[in-house]
Amino acid sequence: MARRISPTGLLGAALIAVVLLLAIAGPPLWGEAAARMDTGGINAPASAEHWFGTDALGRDVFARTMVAARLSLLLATLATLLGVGAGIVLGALPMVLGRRGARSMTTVVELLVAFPGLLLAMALAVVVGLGSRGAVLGLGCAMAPGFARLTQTLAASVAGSDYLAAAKVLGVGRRRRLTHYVLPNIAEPLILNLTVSLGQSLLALAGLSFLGLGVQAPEYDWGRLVSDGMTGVYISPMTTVGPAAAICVAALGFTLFGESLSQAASGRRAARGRSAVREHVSLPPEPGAVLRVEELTVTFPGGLRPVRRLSFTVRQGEIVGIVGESGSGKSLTASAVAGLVPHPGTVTAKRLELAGHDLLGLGERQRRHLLGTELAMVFQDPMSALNPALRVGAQLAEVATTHRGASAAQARELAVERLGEVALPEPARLARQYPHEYSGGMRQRAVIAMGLMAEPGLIVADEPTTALDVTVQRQILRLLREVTDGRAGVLISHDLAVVAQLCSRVLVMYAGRIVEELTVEELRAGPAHPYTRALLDSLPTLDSDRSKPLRTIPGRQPGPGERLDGCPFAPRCEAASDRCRAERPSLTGGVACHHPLKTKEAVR
Amino acid sequence: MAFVLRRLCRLLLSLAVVVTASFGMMHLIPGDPVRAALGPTASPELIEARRATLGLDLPLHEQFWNYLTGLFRGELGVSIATGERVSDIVGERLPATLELAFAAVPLTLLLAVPLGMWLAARTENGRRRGTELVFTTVSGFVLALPEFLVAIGLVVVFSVTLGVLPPAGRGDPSTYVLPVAALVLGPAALITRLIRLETLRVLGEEYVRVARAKRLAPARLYLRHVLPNTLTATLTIAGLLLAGLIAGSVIVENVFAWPGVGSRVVQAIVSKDYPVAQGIVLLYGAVVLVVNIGVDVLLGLADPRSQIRRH
Amino acid sequence: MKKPMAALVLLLVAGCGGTPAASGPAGRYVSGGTFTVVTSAEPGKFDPATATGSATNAALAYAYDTLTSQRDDGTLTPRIAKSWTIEPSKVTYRIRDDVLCNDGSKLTASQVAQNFSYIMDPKNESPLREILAPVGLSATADDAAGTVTLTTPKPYSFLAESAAQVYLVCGAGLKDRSLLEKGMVGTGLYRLTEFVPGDHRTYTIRPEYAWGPDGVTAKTEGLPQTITIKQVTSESTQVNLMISGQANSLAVTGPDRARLERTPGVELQKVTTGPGQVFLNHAEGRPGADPAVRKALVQATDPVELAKVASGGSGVLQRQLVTIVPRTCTYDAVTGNRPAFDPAAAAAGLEAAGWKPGPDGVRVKDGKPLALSFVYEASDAGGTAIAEYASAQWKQLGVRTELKGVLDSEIDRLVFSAGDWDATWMPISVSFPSELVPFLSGKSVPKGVNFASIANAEYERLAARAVETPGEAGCELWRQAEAELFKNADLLPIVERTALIATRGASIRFAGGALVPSSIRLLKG
Repeated sequence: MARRISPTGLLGAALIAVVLLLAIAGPPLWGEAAARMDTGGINAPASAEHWFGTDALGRDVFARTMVAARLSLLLATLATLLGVGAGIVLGALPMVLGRRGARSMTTVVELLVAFPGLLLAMALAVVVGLGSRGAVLGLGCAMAPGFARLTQTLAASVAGSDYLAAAKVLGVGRRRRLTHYVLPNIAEPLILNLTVSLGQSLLALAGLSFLGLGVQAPEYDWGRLVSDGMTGVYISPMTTVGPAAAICVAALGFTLFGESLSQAASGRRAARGRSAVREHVSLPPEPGAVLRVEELTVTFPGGLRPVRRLSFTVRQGEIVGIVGESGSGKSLTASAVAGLVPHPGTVTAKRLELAGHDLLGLGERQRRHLLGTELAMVFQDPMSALNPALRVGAQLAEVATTHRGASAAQARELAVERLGEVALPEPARLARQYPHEYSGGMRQRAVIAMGLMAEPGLIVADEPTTALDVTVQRQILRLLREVTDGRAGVLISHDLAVVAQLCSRVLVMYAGRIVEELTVEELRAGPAHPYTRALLDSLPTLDSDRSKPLRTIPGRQPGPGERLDGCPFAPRCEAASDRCRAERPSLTGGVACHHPLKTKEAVR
Repeated sequence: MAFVLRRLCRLLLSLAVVVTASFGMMHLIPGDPVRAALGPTASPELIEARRATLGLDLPLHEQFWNYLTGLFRGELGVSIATGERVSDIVGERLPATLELAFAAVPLTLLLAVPLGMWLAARTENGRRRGTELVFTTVSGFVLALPEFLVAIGLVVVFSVTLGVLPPAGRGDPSTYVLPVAALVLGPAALITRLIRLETLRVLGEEYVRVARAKRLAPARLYLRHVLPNTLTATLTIAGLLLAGLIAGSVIVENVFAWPGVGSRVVQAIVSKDYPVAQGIVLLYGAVVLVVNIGVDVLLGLADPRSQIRRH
Repeated sequence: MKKPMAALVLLLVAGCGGTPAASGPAGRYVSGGTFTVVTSAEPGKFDPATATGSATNAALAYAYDTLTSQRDDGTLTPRIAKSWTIEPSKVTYRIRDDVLCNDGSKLTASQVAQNFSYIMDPKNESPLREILAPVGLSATADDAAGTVTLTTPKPYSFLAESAAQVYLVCGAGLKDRSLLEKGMVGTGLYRLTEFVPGDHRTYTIRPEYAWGPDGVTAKTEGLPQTITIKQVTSESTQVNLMISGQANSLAVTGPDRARLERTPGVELQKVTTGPGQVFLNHAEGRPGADPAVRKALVQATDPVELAKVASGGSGVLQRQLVTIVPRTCTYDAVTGNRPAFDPAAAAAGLEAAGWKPGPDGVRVKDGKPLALSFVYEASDAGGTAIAEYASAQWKQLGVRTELKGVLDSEIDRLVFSAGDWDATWMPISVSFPSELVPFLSGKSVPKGVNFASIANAEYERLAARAVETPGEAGCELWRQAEAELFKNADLLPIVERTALIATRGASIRFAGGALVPSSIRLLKG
């Protein structure tokens, strides 16, 4: 579970350790001092002898604070466990009950959540009778609705999962589904919440004591010490602040530790990173080239290089396909060109030129303008590429207002126009709608239209059809071909068939490098690199024998962190020789292979 | 329309539950309010007579029936301890509590939302670990502070030592500063954390990558693309916070001698003053339920996918 | 949450006349300002016939007058009554004829009498009925002569003092008591003009007022134009208000008094607020039924330490059961009568009575361990400290004590009807020793209010004589009666609790736990 505990998590763990140690060692070490009465020194302020002063019976508050660690932790733990236990039962019941029972349970929990917890705790503490039992029961019951709600939410997310559906189909009973499928899957977040709740329980117990409803004499926890000291807080502040600090330390420990656990458990998400760094002085521009990339490298901390010294050019009027298995670095290449590599990643290049402008030499503003106007990205999943909270028209229009200085009205008009260009019916009406009202194909069209808003010179499409069903795929590909007419395009795909349909030139990537560069005709005629060959062979064709399984490429692609002296494909290549394993082939004549395939076969 | 009706139905049902629960709970509390109110000199005969006058000698279900019929006539009863009318108590005190809550919530959001978003933007993807570390520790510390200590600390600094703000009471605007500050601090820390996490989640969404690919100015990116998508979470939290503050300002009301319902309900529960406790708990319940409905409606309006919006 | 004073406040406090408040040099006072009193309890009720509790009485004193008032030395001075004659079972008052009710009507003798009749009528359920005259009382008036006569069926020594505590409702308020709830209908120096429950109430001076004690009228220099009573629960907050100049008067009982002592311009005066005592349950089957046990429990505790613990060091040793000043009778019934602090004698006494040390250190007799249940109000800091302290002392004696801190509303039920307790911290504040008789003798709970089931024949005999004996002789009898209780270890006297009355920017006089409205003078500067 714990992948990596953050420094705050370590701090939290250390604080918890201190408190636990106190709970164990406090009563034996300070128990006697904590019980010693001294009527000669009642309510004394802090002094060298009594660090936190003394109480109404002249007892040392510091010693009492140390001793109280045990009871405080015990009560907080009991209350939390009670709350979690009752909450799980309440929250999980809907899974076991029938439909009607489930609905009424959900309503009950919603009601309980709405009821003020502090009042519930107070009333229950009073009903049960003042003292630790009442406080624990009251607090536990007050916490239960929150946990019930959490359990319900978590259980609902599990309920939608495939494996639970499968279990249902297999006829696994409700109770067994709960205990064997749902609970194990929601245990982790529940436990994380429990840790944080422990800290909150300590605070809530102190609150109950403040209201006079907490632990009663002769027992004492931190809450009671704090509230007892309260009457004299202006005279002898340490008597209150001392035990309060103990509460803070423990609560802080649980909060920090619990949070870092949940962060470690959920992992981190990727997003944008910094812009590219130039490695060398750029060379004179090449006419006709929309995009020139030389020795592009993407590095992540820890020696990871998912893209290694990549060079290619995209000219006006052509669509270049980049293919490869997942993990080959093809999508990251597109991100690097667009300046969207997520944070710890760094991009270096000898040259990165877009529409004749040197991206590496521009300031942040100009680069943003250049990328915003000259480059359009089309992403894999149109379902998530559009902002669900904004109207589609507005999402298109803002490109024009941002980069072309258009007025709101002009931009809106332009957006409708573009939506019409991507063959969406009734573009004016659609512009006013939200993404969820669109079908998948319509959304991808809208994303493409959005890309066209700024009249870009280059369209980069990253797996634009993967998430769509087959008939829609065709239409989108046709549309992509239409809109790239007169522009330049980069199509990233794992599917050679798609690339062959749309592109004029193909770059085959493997382990962060280009292993073959060839025209579609050459691809059809038969590639030279054994990897390209293997990719081709794994494609289903109309005449392939359905009874036989498709060919797959054995072995796996080397990871971005692995250092390889030889050809990275060698371990999976039938034709690999000792030379392949020792010496990496360079890209010469469009292929990086020591033993290129000579045979030319027709594709399809 | 159907939505509104359904919600109203549920509101009534919920109120019925709150009424029954508060009645049941108060009558479970041990103690004798009549004796406490009359003092120990009262002879057993006097106590019996008083009990009969108040209808407390009736069987519990009859008392409940009387309470219910009273409610339908708009009568909340009279305090056993002080003889005040419960409707007066609530009428005078509830506004004071609501003022605090309604002042604290917007302030909390105004602080927490920009701060949370800014922190998310700064610490996105593990950048600036230092900022993250400082923030997590500081906000964790604030969260670990008992509320009454915060309140007292504020009084010590601003009233007793500096003498710039009044230490207690409700009057001119300056009297609101400290109680509101004491109420805001903890929730602000909590909500800043939640907003940061929520913003980080949204920043990881594909549509934000798309928005970034469009090279929008940061202001537009965060305000138009990120903020609306954190709204669901923000509004939900704000609703819970408001409900929590209305019922949870007990401690702050105590420290600042704020004439709200919080301090009174504690007293009423402790002294088993049924009419007062039931009345206040009922109104709490009603306010909380109304706030929840309000949040649901707002959420519906904010979320384009919702049903409410179209009808 | 702290309750301000004693748990059971029977106190009926009247504003007192008598000597005028610190009459300083002319020009020292300023008229027409606002005087702000901070109080911790919600005064609540507006109808004097339903009011018990010192906060309520203090708030009533501004709007209502009394027949007479009591000086610090216990003697009576005129208020509404110009003069009076006291007989063993009868007091006759001559009423002033210039007193105006705040509804504009004139106060008559029969109106005064109606107040007493109303309280004494059982159907009105007034809690004052038993306090005012335990033996019963009837009131008659002669409007032509302007006299009111209070008669008791048998002699009652404190009749005049007791009647001095009744706030007089007048005019329309007598016919329609609901008018009182809207605004007090009385003849007092101030009238209630604003009321915000739980926050504050404001009184404004009545310009026509001319019948105050010692010639105080609305024109008297230094009287505030308005009085604000602010309710602030926390004592620290009250003190904060005074330090920041927003309060003129308040009472502190806790450690915050030290802060007021440091604040310039704050005048402090010490007043006794109420007693602190522990009752031992004498009921059949309870350990306290055994006189040897009671005596040992009392002997095991040091009176000096008890007083210190109960009051955080600010109280004084309790000498008599009535602690509120002005006292009609002042005496020492404790010294020499309470079994002296002597742990060895305590242990020997238990030993002799057959309580032998058991295996776990707890004494046993006939197979029953000597275990006590100590009940106290959890919100009372003094009671909590005493419970913890006494249980530690008694543990050394071989007595196991289970502490039971309960809610304020529960303690009455536990002690007065359930009876499941052995020792209880029960401060009972009264003005006259006679008020305590039903608690200390007679029918036990649940039929009566003798909650500890005390059966002390000598006390009963002496008290019965004392009730009928006026003056010094009566007081001496009360002293002897109470001494019997302490001798017999029927209860454990502990402390006379004190409060500091802090005043800033004004001079006031305090009597019977309440501020005297006509004594307030705002100071210049």
